[in-house]
Amino acid sequence: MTHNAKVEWEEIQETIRATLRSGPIDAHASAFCSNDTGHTTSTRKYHCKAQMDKVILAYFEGKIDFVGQQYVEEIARMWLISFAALSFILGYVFQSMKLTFGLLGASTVVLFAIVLPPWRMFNSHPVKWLPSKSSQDGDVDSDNKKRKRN
Amino acid sequence: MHSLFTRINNVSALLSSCVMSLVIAITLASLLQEAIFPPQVDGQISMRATMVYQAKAYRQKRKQEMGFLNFNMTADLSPLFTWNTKQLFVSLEAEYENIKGVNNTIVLWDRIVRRPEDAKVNVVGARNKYAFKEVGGKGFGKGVAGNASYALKYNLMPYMGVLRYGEVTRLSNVPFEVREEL
Repeated sequence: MTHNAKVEWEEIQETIRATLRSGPIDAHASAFCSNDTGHTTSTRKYHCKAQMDKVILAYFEGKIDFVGQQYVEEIARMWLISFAALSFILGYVFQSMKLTFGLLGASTVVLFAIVLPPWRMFNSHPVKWLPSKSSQDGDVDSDNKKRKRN
Repeated sequence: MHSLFTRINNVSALLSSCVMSLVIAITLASLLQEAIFPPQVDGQISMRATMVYQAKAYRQKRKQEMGFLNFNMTADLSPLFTWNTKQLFVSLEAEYENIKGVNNTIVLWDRIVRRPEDAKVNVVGARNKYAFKEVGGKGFGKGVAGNASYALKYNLMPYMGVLRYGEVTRLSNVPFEVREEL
């Protein structure tokens, strides 16, 4: 994530928290907008709408961190392989094809409920970002330019 | 796996691989089961009458030799129903040689069996469902003078795997009775 994207993400998270703290909101409420940027009314309305889209999209994106992704991968693989084997064995023992595919279907639905939503346990190891360099002491670009000259 | 969409994508890909391997496993298990424990089916056919008349077939202009059967049949097909059996197509077929020396096989009676409860066939005084005649020919010819063999055959349609054909029982060399018109 670039520095700008990270700052935007922080802003979005803050607006979500602010929205949850305040109550019902109307379209022009300041809860959806960041602090007063000194814009005129029309541009602030546009700014509010852009923020609301980001909030909605962020809600549906369902991000989880890297350790969570590992968990999800392992859980999904183990679950599906073991339930496929179990449903084959049970279906053979009870001689019923309905049991086989019914059990597989039910286990898939439960797996989707476990794995797809971004639960808190998959977000419990957030990435530890290094402190950002400010533009005063040595930009990345000016450092690269210096190296190119050499 | 970073977003909801990619999680759906990955998990459904895993799921389809699992379902594919499950289907292959069921197919192989059925093949092995059939090879190691072949199903023992038995039955009996008894022909009460096999008559040949000159009759007009449906929507034909002239008369031709047609066979009319009356038979009793019992069979027990329940060993064929496994977890992988979708349905069973049971047919009574007549095999005879016509005047040109060509061997013909014709289906005269059939039934579709979908449940193991219906797997016992017991018909008394049944007639042929389909017309027993030479298609496009003038009559049985040699077959009339000769014999026909009647066989009860089945076709097993599984949920997964290849279709299977088999024969339950056979009644060989049954002569025809040729009658004049009614």
